[in-house]
Amino acid sequence: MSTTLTKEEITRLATLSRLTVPEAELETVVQDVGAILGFVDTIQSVQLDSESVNDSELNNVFREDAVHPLVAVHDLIEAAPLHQDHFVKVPKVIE
Amino acid sequence: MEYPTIAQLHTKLMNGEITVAALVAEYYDRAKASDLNAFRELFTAEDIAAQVAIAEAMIKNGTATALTGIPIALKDNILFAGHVVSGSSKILEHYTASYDATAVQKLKAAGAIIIGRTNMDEFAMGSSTENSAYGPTKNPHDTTKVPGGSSGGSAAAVAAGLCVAAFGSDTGGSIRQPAAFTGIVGLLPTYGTVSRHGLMAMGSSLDVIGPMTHTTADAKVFYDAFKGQDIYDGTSATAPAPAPLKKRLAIPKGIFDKGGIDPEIETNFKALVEKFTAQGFTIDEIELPHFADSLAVYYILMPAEVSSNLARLDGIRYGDRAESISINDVYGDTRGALFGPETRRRILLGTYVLSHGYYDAYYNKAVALRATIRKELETALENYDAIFTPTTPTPAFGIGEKVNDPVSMYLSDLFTVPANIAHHPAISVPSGKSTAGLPFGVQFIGARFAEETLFALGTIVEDIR
Repeated sequence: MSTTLTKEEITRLATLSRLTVPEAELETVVQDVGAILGFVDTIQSVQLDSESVNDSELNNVFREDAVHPLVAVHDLIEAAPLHQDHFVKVPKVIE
Repeated sequence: MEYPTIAQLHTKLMNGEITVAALVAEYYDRAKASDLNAFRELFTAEDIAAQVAIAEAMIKNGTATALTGIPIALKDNILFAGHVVSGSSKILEHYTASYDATAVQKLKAAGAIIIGRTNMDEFAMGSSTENSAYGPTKNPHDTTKVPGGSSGGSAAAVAAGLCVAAFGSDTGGSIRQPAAFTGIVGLLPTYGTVSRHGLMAMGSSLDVIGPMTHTTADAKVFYDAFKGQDIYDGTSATAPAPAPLKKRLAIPKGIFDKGGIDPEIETNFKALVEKFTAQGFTIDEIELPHFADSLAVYYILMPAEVSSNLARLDGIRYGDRAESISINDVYGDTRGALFGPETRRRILLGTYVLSHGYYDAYYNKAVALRATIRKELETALENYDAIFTPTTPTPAFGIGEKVNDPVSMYLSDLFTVPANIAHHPAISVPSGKSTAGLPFGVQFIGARFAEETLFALGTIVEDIR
């Protein structure tokens, strides 16, 4: 069982997820993702009563609005592949 | 081969029969000589020596804990400040952790010796460690077989005596399935009992850090050292007091009827059912109509969460980056070139199920079904200590056997996924071996926060198997 996806659909998803898929791999990706979708499609036929949608376990978690110093900002900036002084460097965003 | 337990080593360390340095050297040397590819990195001798000095001092001044001086391994997705942590991905090959995971901080405070980080499927996505960017780990029982995954490096390291215990993380079976494949004990704790702070996020509503050890008693000692509520994880919780054993187990009706279960596993499981009955247990087959739907629910919810969690790996904030010119090419080329095929598949799949026009049919339906599965397990476990199943449908499969068929790979998580979906704890305990010498495991899924019940059941398996 498999759901038919097109190369165009995969290319669109790749653009949405900022993920370059090489042309040569496209066909395999189309087939693999289609096979997985075919597998998960089984849930479409499961009948559910409407009250089960309520997920009783989910509730708000509150905490004091207090600062807990964890890690120096400097260390986090250092983790970026390109950085200068106290800034993360990025390519030009506006043409 | 039998390796000593945490309690045995603790006694030897406390009465001076062995020093921390000698104990750590024994495991470290074995790990260094091993060709299983269980470790991504063994930490430097200087690093280990500093940890050993702290442990020796704790023993000397009377502040030692049960884990002081015990050699432990970290899965390569748990942060240890100042050490590289890669998620076994190319994209984080050179990333150094800026802080300690809460679980790591607790181990350090307990005086445990963290000797290295273990191989895994990239960002914990897989069931065999074959999705690691650094090659598969081999199963110590048969090196042509996978050790399971995603915590396969941790499983192989414990099973081969390269460390006494190891951290795993379990999103859909990633502790229990490799534990079963390598003949060790693996616990998925109740979601929230262990802080996720410092664990690389895969599926945030599913991820749990847990122990991988030789015995159930070891799993308890290790787990007790790193559980607990944490201000840095809003979903963490404190467990209520344990309930007494009911001596009642439930088997989901029809699990052996659909085929796909290895006959030796079925025989092994049914023999154990007999032995539990002989111990005065009542064992019933019960209807869990949506138990088997868990896997499909999982392969919708998990990729959806993966696609958003992994958005942060963009070549800008962490790790390595492609040398492209425009910002969109930096994102696309970094992620396209440095994520492996399975990670890319799951990001695309997650993006699909969350996209306009499909959201209701997939994601919302899966969320509703998740609530149904949770209610089903919760109701069943009011009357039983645990749901009892084999951990996996088959023993360890061959390296390369399933890499080209993702769906068949996913089916090895058939019995493990429901506990993650429902936020219930579950333990896998070794139950025997195949005629070819490959280990089997059985699984108990307990009520939420019933880890003590699972430890009690695991200990019984160790006595009667």
